[in-house]
Amino acid sequence: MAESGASGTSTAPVREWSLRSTLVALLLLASTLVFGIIASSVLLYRVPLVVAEDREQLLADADGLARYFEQLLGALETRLGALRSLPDRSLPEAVADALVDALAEGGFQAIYLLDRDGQVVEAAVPELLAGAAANLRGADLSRNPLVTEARRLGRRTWSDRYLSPLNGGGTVGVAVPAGQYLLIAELAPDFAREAITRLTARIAFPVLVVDRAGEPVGGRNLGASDLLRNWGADFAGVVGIEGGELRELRFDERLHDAAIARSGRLGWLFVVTRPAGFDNPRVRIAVLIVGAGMLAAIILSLVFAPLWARRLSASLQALTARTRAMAAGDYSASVPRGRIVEFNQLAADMEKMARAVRQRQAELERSEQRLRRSLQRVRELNIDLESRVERRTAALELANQELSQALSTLQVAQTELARTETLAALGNLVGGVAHELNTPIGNAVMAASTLNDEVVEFARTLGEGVRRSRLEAFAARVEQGTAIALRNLQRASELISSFKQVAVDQTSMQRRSFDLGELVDEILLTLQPMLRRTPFKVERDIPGDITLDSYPGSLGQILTNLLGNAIVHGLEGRDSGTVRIAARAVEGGRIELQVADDGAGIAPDLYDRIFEPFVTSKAGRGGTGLGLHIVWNAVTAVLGGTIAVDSEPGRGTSFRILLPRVAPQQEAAG
Amino acid sequence: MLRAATVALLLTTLMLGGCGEREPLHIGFLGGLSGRGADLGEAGRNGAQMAIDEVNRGGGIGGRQVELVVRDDGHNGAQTIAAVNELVAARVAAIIGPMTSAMAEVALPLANNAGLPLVSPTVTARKFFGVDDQLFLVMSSTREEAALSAQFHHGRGARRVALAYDARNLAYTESWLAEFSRSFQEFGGEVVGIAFESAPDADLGRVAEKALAVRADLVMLIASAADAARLAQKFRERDPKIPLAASQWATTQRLIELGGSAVEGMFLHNYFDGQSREPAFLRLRAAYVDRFRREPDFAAIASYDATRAVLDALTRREGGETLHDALLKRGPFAGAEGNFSFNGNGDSSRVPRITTVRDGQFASVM
Repeated sequence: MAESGASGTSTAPVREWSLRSTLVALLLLASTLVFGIIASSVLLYRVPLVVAEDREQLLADADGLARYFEQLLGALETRLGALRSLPDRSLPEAVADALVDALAEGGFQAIYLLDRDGQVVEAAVPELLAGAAANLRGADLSRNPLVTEARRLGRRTWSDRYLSPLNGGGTVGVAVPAGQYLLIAELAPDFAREAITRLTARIAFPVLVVDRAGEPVGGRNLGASDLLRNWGADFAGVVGIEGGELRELRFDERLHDAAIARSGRLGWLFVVTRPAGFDNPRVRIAVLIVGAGMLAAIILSLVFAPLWARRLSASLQALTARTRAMAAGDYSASVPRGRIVEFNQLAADMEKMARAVRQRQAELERSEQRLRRSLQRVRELNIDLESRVERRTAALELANQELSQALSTLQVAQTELARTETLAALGNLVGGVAHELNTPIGNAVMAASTLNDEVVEFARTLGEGVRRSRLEAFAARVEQGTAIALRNLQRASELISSFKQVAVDQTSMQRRSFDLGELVDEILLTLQPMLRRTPFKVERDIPGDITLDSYPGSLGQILTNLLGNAIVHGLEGRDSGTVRIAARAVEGGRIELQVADDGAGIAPDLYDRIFEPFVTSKAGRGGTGLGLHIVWNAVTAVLGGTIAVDSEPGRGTSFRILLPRVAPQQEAAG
Repeated sequence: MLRAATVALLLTTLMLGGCGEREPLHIGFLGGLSGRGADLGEAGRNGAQMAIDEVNRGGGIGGRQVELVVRDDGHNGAQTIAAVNELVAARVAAIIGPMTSAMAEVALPLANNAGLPLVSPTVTARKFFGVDDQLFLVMSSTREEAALSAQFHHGRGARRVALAYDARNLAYTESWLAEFSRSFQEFGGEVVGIAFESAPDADLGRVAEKALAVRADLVMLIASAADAARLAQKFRERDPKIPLAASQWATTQRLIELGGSAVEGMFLHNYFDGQSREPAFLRLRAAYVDRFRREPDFAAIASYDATRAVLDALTRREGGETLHDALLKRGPFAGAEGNFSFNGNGDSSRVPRITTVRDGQFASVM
């Protein structure tokens, strides 16, 4: 029967047997085994006994047969022996008659009288073969084995089976020395067979007599082949003189127990047999009786087992019925009791189990109720939560809206602030311009005034007479004075043009081609007033051939802011410092512009946010924090470039701006 | 559980029945074991038994022991038919025998019908040669023997031969007569055939007189050993000097046992060199003497060879080969005096020899 896997996965379905079948099989097996053991024991004891008894009988029979043959042949021998003295004493005819008479007594099929040389002198043969006597007379039988044996032994001797000179048939001969002569007589072929039959009449099993060479002399109940074949090999090594020997031999394909007795005088073996094993009738009966008994036991068990099984299964049926009811959900009824302890135990346990199940059910129901209530509560809470969430969401939305508004306001403010800054810058610029202009114009005014004074004075003195030296001096002073005034006015004119350019640039956001170096110079110019007041230097390193097609106003604003930052933030409080403006062309049609100072550097906490609006280190002290943001805006949005800062406190600050030579197109801005 | 019970039951039964060995393999033997030809039959049976004992000692064939099933044909046609049918019913693998051509004539059609090989140790009649049937022959035919005989005796000066032959075995004796006559006539000689009926009370003296009246230089006897012995005796009574010869049929121990001095110096035929000094042959001969208490003659040796061929063919055959085909294809087979094999018709070829009787023993001449 198949087993399901231990891991829980079953492979083949388990074969099921009903209780009845199991009990029947069990009973069958039990009775078979028991009876089998008994039967085997009985047979094991009985069969050898039977076999031993039979063997005893066989040995006795074989011995008896051997002695009987010896007696019979002895008698024949004696009869022949009676003729011993005849040849010497009698006439040949008398001898011939005597031989014939002896033959007529039966038992022999031929009698020969041989002379000293082994020649047949006289022969007595059956009447049927009367003519054969003539053929035999004169035959030289000196080489006949019987003759040679008899001569050698010098006494009466029986041959083994040999072939008769008379008819060639196989027979047995006896030789009796008769003085100078030798009497040879051959046994009639039926003789041996009849003798055996007489003695073993009651035996139904093979009987065999063989000579010393294993050739059959005669037998009974033998198959044709067994009577014709040579038994030398089967009887090899058998002595059998004292009381006989037992062997197992095959006759007609079947195994037989054989008792073998040897005749000392003849040398022949006498074999009496009985079938071995199951073929032995007595053994067979014993086995059959036992077998029948076993069969009866099996039949009885086959009859009784189902009855008993039914009683047993009845009790079980009731139990299974109850179990089925329980499986269907009915735990109420009690379980019936029967007459088997284990089943009653089971019944009691089942009732206990039913009770436990009922209890458990009740508990379960209570639990369920509690659960339901909890669920209800949870639902309510859930609803509450949802409404709260809604409210909160609404509030958040409101806040969000407000924030958005604030943000846009802030953005507007930022723009405003940028514009203000721009305006402020512009204002600074105008202030600066005015300041700048002040000087040259003042100088020019002064020079013109001086000149005026000189002229007035000269004119005054003209009346008194003019000396050449005074005229020359006056002309020199006039020249000087006009030169100064001209120079200063030119300067003022330049300044104004520059400032105009810058203003135009800064306010009109005009795009044009310009030379970077020139622009930087212009910016520096406008910043002169501020720069002059400081101890700082401005270095300028700009190649002369950098041309941009871009927005100079923005660029100017950028530079202004950066320089301003450098002065105001970087070099604040220092009594020396340098701001360096450098530019070079880089690949990609771009310009790199660097504005660096060796000032204080940017504080680390502002570093990352330096380009963001409202980031300043001078909060509350006039810094709006928008300067760099404006710069950043201008660089990225207007000029289409990038700006980066590299700063370390104590080392200075360096801004690196990468600009395309050709700025991207802008929409017209306000 | 039930399975265990069944096994227990089986074991109990087996204990009683006794576990059997494997079924033995049966080989049939058919020959004259009674009556006048019993010497040939007995020798044939013994030779076959020797071969079978040898094989059984070596473990049998495919683990099965071999058994000889013996039947007597009594040199009688009806008995032969009954015997062959019994052997066929006993399901023998082959029949060794018959020993005489006359009985072979009777047995062959039955064997052909049953598809049962008939391996004859001693049949030599010419008419059985060159035919593809169930008959297997272990020696050459009468033609070879007679040709040698004619040559030998002619060489010794014989010019006229009186040939007495047994009319009870015409299949053989007539063949011998025909072959010898032809060969001897080719040498320029003359053969006179004299038939006789073999019987215990046949008037053999008159046969001798008839033969002597021919004034032959040689008397050739084509007869069984018993008849040849008695005829020799009759001839010797009348003419002690006339050269006597006989065919192989008479070349058994029985000739000497029954003939005594009458057969001294007689020329005989043998396909076997009974005086061989080969160790294997000597062993075989010693075993035969030990078992059967007499010397093996040509019939015994031929039968040994025939049986060995059958047993070896049974051992060597492959697939679903019949024994007939195995005998034809699976040679050569080891005989007592050397290897031999069958040609496509189941015939063999051996060198005939001349033997003589000297001091009561057979001795080779050539």
